[in-house]
Amino acid sequence: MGSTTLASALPPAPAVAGREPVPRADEREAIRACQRGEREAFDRLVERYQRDVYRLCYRYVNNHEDASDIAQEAFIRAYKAIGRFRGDSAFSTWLYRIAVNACLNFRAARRPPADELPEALPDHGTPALERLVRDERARRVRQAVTTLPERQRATLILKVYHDLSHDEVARILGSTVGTVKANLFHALANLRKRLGTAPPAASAAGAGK
Amino acid sequence: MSGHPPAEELIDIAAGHAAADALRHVAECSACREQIDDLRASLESLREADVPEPPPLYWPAFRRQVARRLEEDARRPRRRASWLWLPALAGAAVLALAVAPHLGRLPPPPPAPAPAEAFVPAWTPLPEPADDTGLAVLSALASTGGMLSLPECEGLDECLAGLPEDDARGLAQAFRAELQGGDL
Repeated sequence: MGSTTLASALPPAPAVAGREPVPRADEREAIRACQRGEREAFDRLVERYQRDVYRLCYRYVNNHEDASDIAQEAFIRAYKAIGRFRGDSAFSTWLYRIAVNACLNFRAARRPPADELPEALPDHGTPALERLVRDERARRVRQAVTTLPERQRATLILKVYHDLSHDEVARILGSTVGTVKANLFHALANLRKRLGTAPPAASAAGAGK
Repeated sequence: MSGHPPAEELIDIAAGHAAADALRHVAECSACREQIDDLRASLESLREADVPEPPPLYWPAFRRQVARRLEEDARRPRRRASWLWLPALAGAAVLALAVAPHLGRLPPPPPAPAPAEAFVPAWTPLPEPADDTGLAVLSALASTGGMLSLPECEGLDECLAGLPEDDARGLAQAFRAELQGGDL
């Protein structure tokens, strides 16, 4: 058996240039300030989580315009509900729950399919053909993710791209750890099918419980 | 060979958190090993499919947009608390109940002619007493005694209730004619 684990197969935390993380103590203070009605304090929280929320939304809808709209909506809802945040969970978990609900509620406007946002910085270190192949493969994977059933899609995005524990994902989606694992399994299996690689003959484990 | 692990356990095995029994089974079962390899291959594909990063100037604009929407929400007038509008609603309901029994006595009005202009103001101020044609009609009808013989009554609903059928019909016609600017 290979030694690759799920954790090591997960993408590393994105290295975002120029991002200065807000220390936890400052985050708690920002939350308290928002709860006192200080709207400007919310900007610090937006700055901290804007990329994570945007990326979550983007993976859900696979285009920049819709992802931007949903991410904004998620932050608006979070501000309006911040008075009810009691600190029982991490703020990120609470925020992701709001973002996932915004994604689930989203109904795409009737607009022509938008082109995907091009890479901001060209990768001069990789040959052009290799980049094209890689980008096309990435596009197909992102598109395949958007065709997954809602809960499988949300589970996969939260687990794989946001490195959340099974328990945190269960809290966000309002389900159990067992359901999260099962949804993740089926999401990955469905993804393989949709990307054109047929899965092996179903074993008793994969076929059912 | 023991039974195949369920889906949840295969996920744990792929993550390296499986129990010893499950690991022993996988070591001996090629079908399960193949499934775990497929899981890892899917994860690898996902890892490579990163999200295109928006231009650097996008993020300040995003934050400004969020702040602007929050500010607009804060400026929007809030809905009146229910304790303010409920009494008004109750009063309107009482008035409707008082008038409703008398509506049946009035003949149905003819269909109104189509207005020449489509624009209808949502609200117009009440006319000054000197300009209120409705009051003039009431005053004329009451003082001349020609068309109506109003019974002695203390309130509007009592007056209306006391009107004979012909007088009620006549009053309705008088009102309609006055409001439409025509003759009786």
